[in-house]
Amino acid sequence: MDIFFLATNQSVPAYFAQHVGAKGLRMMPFLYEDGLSNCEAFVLFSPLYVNGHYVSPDSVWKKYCGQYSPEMKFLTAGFANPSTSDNCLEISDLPDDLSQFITNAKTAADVNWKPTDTGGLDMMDVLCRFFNGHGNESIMEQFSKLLRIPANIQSALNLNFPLQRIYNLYLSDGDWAGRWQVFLNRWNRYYPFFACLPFYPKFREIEKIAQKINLFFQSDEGDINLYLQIGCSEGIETIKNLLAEIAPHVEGIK
Amino acid sequence: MTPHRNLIVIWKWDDVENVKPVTVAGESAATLFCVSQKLMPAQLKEVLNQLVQPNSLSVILLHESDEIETSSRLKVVKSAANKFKKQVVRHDLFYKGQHFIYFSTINDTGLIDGNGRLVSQKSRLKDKDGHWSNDFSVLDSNGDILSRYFNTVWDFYTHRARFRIFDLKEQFIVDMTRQQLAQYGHPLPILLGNPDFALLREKYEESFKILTAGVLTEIYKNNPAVNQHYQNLKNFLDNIPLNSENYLRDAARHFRELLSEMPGKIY
Amino acid sequence: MSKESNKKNYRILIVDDDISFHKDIRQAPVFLQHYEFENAYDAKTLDKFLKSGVQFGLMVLDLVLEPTREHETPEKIKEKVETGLTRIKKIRAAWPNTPIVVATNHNILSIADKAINLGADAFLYKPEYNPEEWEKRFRRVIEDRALAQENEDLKQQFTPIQPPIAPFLGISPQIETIRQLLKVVADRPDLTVLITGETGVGKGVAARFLHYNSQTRRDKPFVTVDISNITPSLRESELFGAMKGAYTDAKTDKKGRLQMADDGILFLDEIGELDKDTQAKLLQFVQTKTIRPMGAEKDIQLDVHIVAATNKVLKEEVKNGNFRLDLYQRLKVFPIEIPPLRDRREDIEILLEHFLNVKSREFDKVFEPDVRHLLFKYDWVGNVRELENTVLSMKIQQEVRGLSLITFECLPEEIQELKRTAQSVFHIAPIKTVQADAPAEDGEAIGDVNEQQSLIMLQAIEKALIKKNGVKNDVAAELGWKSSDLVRYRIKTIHEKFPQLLSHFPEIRRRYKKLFV
Repeated sequence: MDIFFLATNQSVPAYFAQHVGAKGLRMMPFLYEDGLSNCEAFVLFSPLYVNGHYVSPDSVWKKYCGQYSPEMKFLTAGFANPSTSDNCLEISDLPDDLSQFITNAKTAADVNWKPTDTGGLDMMDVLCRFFNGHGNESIMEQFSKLLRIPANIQSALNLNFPLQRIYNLYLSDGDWAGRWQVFLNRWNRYYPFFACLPFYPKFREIEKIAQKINLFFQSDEGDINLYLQIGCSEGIETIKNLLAEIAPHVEGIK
Repeated sequence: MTPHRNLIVIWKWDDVENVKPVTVAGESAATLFCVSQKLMPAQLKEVLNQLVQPNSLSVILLHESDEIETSSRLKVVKSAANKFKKQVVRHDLFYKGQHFIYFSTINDTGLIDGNGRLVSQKSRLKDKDGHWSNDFSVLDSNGDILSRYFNTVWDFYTHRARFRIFDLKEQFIVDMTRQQLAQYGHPLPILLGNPDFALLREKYEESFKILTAGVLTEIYKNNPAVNQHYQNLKNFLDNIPLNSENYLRDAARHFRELLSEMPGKIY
Repeated sequence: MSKESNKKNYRILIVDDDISFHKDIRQAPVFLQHYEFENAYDAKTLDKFLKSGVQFGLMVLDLVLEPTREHETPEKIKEKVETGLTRIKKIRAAWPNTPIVVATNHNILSIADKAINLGADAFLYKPEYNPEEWEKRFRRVIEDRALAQENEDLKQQFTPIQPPIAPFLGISPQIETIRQLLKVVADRPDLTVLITGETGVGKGVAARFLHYNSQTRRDKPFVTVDISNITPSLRESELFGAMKGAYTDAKTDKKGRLQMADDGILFLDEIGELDKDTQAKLLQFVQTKTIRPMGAEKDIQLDVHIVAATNKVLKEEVKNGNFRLDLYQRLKVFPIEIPPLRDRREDIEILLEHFLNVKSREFDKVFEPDVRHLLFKYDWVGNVRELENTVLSMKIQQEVRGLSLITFECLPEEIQELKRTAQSVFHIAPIKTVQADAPAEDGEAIGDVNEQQSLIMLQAIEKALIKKNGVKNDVAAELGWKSSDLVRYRIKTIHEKFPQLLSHFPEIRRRYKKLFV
């Protein structure tokens, strides 16, 4: 059996591989491009080290795997605790028959087990705060505000308003730029943490689009033609849709 | 002369226009400076220049928020840290989450609630049973900060003790127990002096300071459990050969036991 | 008149703590020209506007007027939403005619429902902001409220809506033949017409069709008598009239229905219910064209074309001794039997077109294909009347559920059951005489209310129950009735008289389930 794994400290899976190799199991690094479809077993070495922090994305991965690869054996491995769960491995005290342990482990979709607290930043909590804000608006409320200006711009274009007038009405006071910056502040703070998450490719896509849209806000001209050329409205709509696709994977969103 | 300790917290303080100092009860050489996050970068620079004095140590914590433009303010903070290298012992961003400065009812540590205030009877927080309560306070009857709260936060941010121990646990012990190293079987002090391990020593030097400089004993002098487990860990690392049976397991256990007694999380 | 010239200058009050929302609406291209705005950013300012006496064309209202703070519990947030909902009531009380559009970030159906029930006119979800759509919605809400206000005044009276003179609809050969026959006999007052058929096939409609097609009597009275609705002891006086003092309660001279129908047509419905004595008197009229009111000394000559109807088999009634043979022979001079709807299913489509006021090619814009199929498959034991009532009931359900199409769930249980089994379970209860012993609170004898009026009354009660969450005193107040006892009494009485109607009103059945045990 191939065991796919995700880790940031490469020593740990190397150590682990020495044990499993002896039992005829093969460790394969998980690649986002390949997805989970061919994974029979997946080991998350937790906590991961991301953006200068130790993070524990265990519950996020379990929920995600439970949905997209429910029959897969999902395990976490680390130095958190002596293993008290069928699905959590203590690296300093691996079972003799690791192969059997993995075979007997519960599946990702099984609700009867929860990942152990491995001591890092709880990524489910981080995601929740990203989406909900904390004393601030939720991310969707931010987008609701962000998209009103493009809606007005589009309406003005439909009514054949002169471009200069559109600029004067909706862009010249910098209000929209300010709203974008509010989103960007939050995004820039959280995005580096998202590299450890199963839907990181979607976040990566958001980052690409955000950088493209930022070209408009960084330009001095505030040119409507540039706005249209870059596709600011479509870009923001796409980011919103991508976030809406990710949201169901997060527990605790208001 | 003991240098003055300044804890400078730039945040959405409820009743602070610019800067407000708060004294620490019984500690004449310690002050919390509440700085409003609404100050423009130029104003913030002025404030920091005034607060960071030659014979003082400062920890500067900047709140990250959606509403304020953090990066320009962070630049100001980094610039101050750079300019006053000896005085600014730590600077960092913080936001609501597991950050130590936020009050934890479980560990009885931290200073601020989530709503712009030092924790007092005005603060409504969830206790360890999950019930909302107004019974927590870091202030005495004069409105001064109780020293133990200030000191715990100060120690946490200056030493990052828990993070370093955790880091050693996660990174170091596996590095150490890889088969090709285990063959040497030297106890830790010899290991550290051994030129074969120069690179490894360099990698973990900063973290090791927490174990070798007696720092933990000083910080947790009032916590016998921490001291006991610290001694256990130190003895283990000093005396037990690397190639001994179950080294990894026992090392992990000692680290875990120590961490379980150290309050808070790793950041 | 073009759409553009239809636009007026509207004055809109936006109530929202989000300053950017005010700005975005104000600056939306579609609002720039014809709208002016006032702003309230908090509850205090709103209160000032409410007390000021200033009126607005429309209010856009956010439910939560304070920013969410950190550490705010879900209960606290819910409390804020509830406060916002309660605010709607307050606004409605101060400004009963001002349309209120709730615009919020909370797209929760229960909140939308509550808001509408408390008096909001529409519910908009801010993340779905579309200036053109919102502007259309605002205009519609303004116009709808103006119309609703007029209708509200009319509805209060429960005046039964007199159906327009309905053509006798049907494309089946049977109905085509009957139409021809009715046209032939319309100007033959010498021919007493006896229309037979099951309950609800349209005997009354056929009688009206006859009246309408009479060249000589079209403009003359068409008087209906439902024999089953009249207390037996009062039937004689009702039909033939009575002089003052003829009986204990006869305080004035009373004209009978036959007299009222002079020169016109008298439609005697449920003639099979007539008692023997009254049968005798009727026979006399049919033979001599004269009547003698009770207590009168002289006969009165009348020219009335009699059209009778019954769902009974009069031949059997004669055999059983319940109906006079001689009267039967005079009545059956021109018999017309209207077949049940299930025997002429091709008529269902045209009837649906009529009741829905929609061409059959547009049925897919009215109901789901499932529904259409079942409507054509069902046996319609109550015939055309049941079909008409069902259409009304489906539309009520559609409106109450806020659906764009009539769906399976809007169908009465009996028709839904078709999907599960092949049988119809619709029963026709025997028609009972209603005792007019109601508390005389409104001075209206419930026994006088016919089926159409009963349906309208039930519709109003159903809506009031939903709107007032079943609080019965509030329901009575909403309906303008003095007590909740009256609501209960009326439901009970209608149930006794027209039990089949209640299956179309699930809220009434739920809230008054003891009545239906």
